[in-house]
Amino acid sequence: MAVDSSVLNSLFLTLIVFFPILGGLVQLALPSSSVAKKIPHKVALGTTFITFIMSLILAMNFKPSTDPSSVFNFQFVDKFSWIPVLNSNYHIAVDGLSLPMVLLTSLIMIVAVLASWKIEKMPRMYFFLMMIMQTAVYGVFTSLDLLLFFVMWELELIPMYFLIGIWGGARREYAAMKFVLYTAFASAFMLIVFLGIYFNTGTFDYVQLVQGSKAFANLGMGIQVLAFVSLMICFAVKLPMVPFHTWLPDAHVEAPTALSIVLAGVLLKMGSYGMIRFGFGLFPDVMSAKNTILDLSFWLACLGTINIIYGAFLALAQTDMKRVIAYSSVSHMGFVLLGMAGMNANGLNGAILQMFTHGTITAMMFLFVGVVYDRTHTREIAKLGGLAQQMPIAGAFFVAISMAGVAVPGMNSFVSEFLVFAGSFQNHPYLCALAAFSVVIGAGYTLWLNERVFFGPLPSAWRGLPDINKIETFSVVLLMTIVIATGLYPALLLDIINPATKQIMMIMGIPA
Amino acid sequence: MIEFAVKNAWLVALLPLLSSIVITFLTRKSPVLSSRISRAFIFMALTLSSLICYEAVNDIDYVLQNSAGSLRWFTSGSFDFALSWKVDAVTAMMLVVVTLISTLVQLYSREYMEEYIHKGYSFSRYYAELSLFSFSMLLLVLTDNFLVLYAGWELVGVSSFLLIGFFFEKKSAPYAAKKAFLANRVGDFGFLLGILLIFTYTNTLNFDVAAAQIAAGKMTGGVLTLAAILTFFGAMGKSGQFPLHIWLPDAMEGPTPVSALIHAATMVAAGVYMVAKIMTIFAQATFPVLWGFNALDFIAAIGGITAIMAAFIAITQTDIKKILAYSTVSQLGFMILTLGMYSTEGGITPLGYTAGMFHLFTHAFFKAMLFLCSGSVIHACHTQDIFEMGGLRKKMPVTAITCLIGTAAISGAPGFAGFWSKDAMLDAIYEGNMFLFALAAIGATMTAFYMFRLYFLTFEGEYRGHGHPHEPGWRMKFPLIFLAIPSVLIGFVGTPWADYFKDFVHYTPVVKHATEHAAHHGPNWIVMGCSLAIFTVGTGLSFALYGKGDLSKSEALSLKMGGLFKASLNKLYIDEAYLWFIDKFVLAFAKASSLFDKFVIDMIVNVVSWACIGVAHFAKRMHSGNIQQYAMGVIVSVLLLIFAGTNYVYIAKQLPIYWVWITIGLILAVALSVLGYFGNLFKKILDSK
Repeated sequence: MAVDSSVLNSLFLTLIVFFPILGGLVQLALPSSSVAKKIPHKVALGTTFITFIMSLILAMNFKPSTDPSSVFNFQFVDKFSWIPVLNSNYHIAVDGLSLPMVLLTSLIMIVAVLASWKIEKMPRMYFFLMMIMQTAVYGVFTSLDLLLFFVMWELELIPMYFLIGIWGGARREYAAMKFVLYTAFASAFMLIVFLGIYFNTGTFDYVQLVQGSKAFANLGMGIQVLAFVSLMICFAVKLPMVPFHTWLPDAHVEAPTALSIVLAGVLLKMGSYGMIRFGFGLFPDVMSAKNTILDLSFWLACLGTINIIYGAFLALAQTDMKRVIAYSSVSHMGFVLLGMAGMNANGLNGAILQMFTHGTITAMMFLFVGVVYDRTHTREIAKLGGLAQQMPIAGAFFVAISMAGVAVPGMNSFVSEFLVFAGSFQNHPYLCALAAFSVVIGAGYTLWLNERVFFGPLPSAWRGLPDINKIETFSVVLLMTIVIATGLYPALLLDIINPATKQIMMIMGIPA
Repeated sequence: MIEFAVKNAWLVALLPLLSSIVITFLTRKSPVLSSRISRAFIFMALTLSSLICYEAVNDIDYVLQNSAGSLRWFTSGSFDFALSWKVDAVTAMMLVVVTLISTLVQLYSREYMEEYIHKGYSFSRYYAELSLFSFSMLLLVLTDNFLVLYAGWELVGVSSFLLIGFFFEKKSAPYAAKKAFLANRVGDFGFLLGILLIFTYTNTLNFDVAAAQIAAGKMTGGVLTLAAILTFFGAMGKSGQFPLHIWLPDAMEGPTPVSALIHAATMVAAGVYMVAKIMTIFAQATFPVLWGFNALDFIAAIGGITAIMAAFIAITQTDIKKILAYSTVSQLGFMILTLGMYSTEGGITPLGYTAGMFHLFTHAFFKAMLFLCSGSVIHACHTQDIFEMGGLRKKMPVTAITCLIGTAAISGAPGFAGFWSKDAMLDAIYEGNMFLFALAAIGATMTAFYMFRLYFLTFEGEYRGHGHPHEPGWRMKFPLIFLAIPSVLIGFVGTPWADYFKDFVHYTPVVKHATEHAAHHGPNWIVMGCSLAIFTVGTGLSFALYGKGDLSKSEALSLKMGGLFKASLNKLYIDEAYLWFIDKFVLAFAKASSLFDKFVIDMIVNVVSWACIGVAHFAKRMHSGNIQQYAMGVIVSVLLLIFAGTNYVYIAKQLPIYWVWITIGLILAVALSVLGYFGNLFKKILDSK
């Protein structure tokens, strides 16, 4: 029952994690007459906005580690006994790895609520589910107890199932079912590994597992590799890693804009976060030279490269705007894998930063698919064109977003991609060189999309379309400001991430 | 004031960025104000760079010692990535060239772009993008580290994308913009890998430190050569070298002043500048890789091919801007070829290095002027086809005279700027490689030929168009007249008798040690004779065919040339080859991947889910309620268990054998497929209800 003495520390993180659910309960209490006045929307916005402010306060009070000998820098720790029979605790905290993810979640949720402003179908239920999801995602990013992590991981699925299944497009039930079954199937692997760890060590506590009993360290490398790979499969589905990626385009195409934003902006990062936190943290020897069974770093780099290149080619072949961006997500998340496979400071920093940058950029991309779809009611690229003439501000923003997508300097993606390349090049130069060719293919599909949707002559069908409204402008300006601010001065984030990266490397025994 | 300028050299780059930001966020709605702000800021940058350059000429050591600076950008591991800058002689020269051309182009644009503004294009956007362009170029000129160089490099690509696609409602302009960006990205791909190689081996991004580490043996042999060649890929993209030159002629879709900027100062110069800036690294990459080629051989070969190829294509083009575009490609080829010349001692021949930079310097002035002339002509005639011009000398005397000066300069008329720099280049090539010298001489002859063809067809003879051409206003005339002066005179800073330019560039740390042991090099009379002959022959042929400004003779000749003429007119079918490759390979592969994704990977997922339904279907049938059936199941299971229990040693022995696994796998796959088939059927029956 160790509660931190400082006022801010005690329960502040818990407040952030559960505040959205409070907002969600308010939704349920709203009378049906409030719907017409968009009260549910405003309550949801207020909730996400307050959580965002609280996360900012959290970030400002977070102190990056200065102690070079410590492997942990968990702050705002809240730890209570939860299920004593299982020796499981309610144990949450943030460090340099989870803090950027918490910030990203808070940010993306505001944008998602704003993108839902036109929802008229059962808005109270919609926002209630969304708020539950937000709590679950915070829980995933902050849990330090394996059982709590698993519960939060599964908790995220339920609202998502209903959100896609009720508010989605034509094939929404198929997509929702596929998404949920795929992820649930994969999380069975995680449950097995976590239970195995519990029966082997008698604890679910991440800190104890890393410091003392080391998961399966007593059982030999074979078991460790097996457990590591199982855990990675679970996270790979969420990431998504080729060949487990086919749920993603279906889910994106059927999901409403706001859900696509959350899905690509935040939910995919749960996979890569899990890989780094639990895959690397619990099985530190598996990726390093101590593992003589399989060179897993090489295979991870291979899979990352396949993700990058294969995803990019798939994006090039699509005819639906949303599918292009869905597959570009596959490609960009491959950079996270490749960076992790670099197994050095640059690679890991790049991977973690890429999680953040991809979240911010791809959210804008999906936002703009929504902008176009709202006005034209089509996502077929062949039918679109010349929209910049009708929507000059939207056109200008989309050019900027595309530039962020192709990682030009000044945008945060430039730094993360460069770090991933610099890191992975040291260990896997050929794979990195192959992956680097995506700078060409990526520019190809992004600029092609840009050209075919916004430039060129305007088909007469699209005359008189309104430009983006104030709500959409606010969202994109908010995200773009962050993309450019962290792009011009990446130290804003990297000064938080870098110490955490060093600690992960220390856990894994890699010399800095 | 001078001290301030030198110590705050970063301001030169920051000013245009500031103007871009101010225009975007504050004065977007008032176009005239935006243009004034942009011009004021770039003029301030010009003033600062002039002061820096003045000081560099006076006392280079002071500049070298006081201009450097560095800021921590971000930290990864324990490595600090820095934003750093430093001014040496070449940098000081480039700063002046970039800011001067930018200033003139911005002034010129004020009048040139007016008619487009009336058509609804945003002046503010134009000037914001123009400023961003200057900023990107100045950033890459000022920096002394690879990461910032790469950043500036990419930003140049971005701003050129924005400006080439300025007329975004056309079909061709966004297409050309995308093409430029992609061709550049292909080069950048190699550039990035080159930087990564150098970074991995030397663990530094600073040019000088990296060069010193390489000299100390941190990186040798094939890897170094490979790194140098990969880095040069970037220059091939930006400086339009074969086979990545395809974007440059298409980039003419942008407004003409932008073309002037791209072709003279801000973009294509970047590649040449980069090669010169890190020449110490290239010069050390002497290990031969392919067919005995080392890095500088490769550079020279690419430059030579580009120079002659582009000149060959330029001969038959009829679009005034395309001729100038190909002439730029060709001239850049000359510069790259010259930079690739090295002496056998292993150091760099200062001749090649200084001559290449000298031509970059002089070329900037007359090429900018030629483009601005073409803009003036297009502004007046509303066409770009030189066959629809003619006789403009009487109607637009200022444009005609400045254009003639530019033509004379680029063709190497004795005394003009281009003569001295071209002579220096030929001299360097002559010392290096006779075959390439012959190639360069032919290329230079063609240059004189097609440039005078352009001049004669545009300004001499009778007017063949239908408009009412007239001279533009002072904002357009002033840059033309202003640029005419250096086009004539600037060459005199680098004559073989008194080579001030070489002495100046000499102080760049890159070449300092190499030049010190180079003997003083007087005029080479053979080469100078060749230069004269080249100019005479090229101009003479051109005069004979087009001197009267009519097309009859040349048309007859073009019919006789047949295939050669067609090949030149169709740009050697290089664009077609690219399109064929992209269509038949890249897009075909993308489509194949898409089908694979849908019908293999996703199908497996579906089959698994159908198999579950199939299992459920069979399992449901087993629960028939028939006691005999249950008892049978129990008996069979028990027997199987007994069999397995008694033979487990045998089974365990069989397990490591591969065919056992293959059989099990096959059985599972068949079972999965069968179950999936039934599951799918069952699902369809369910769905049909």
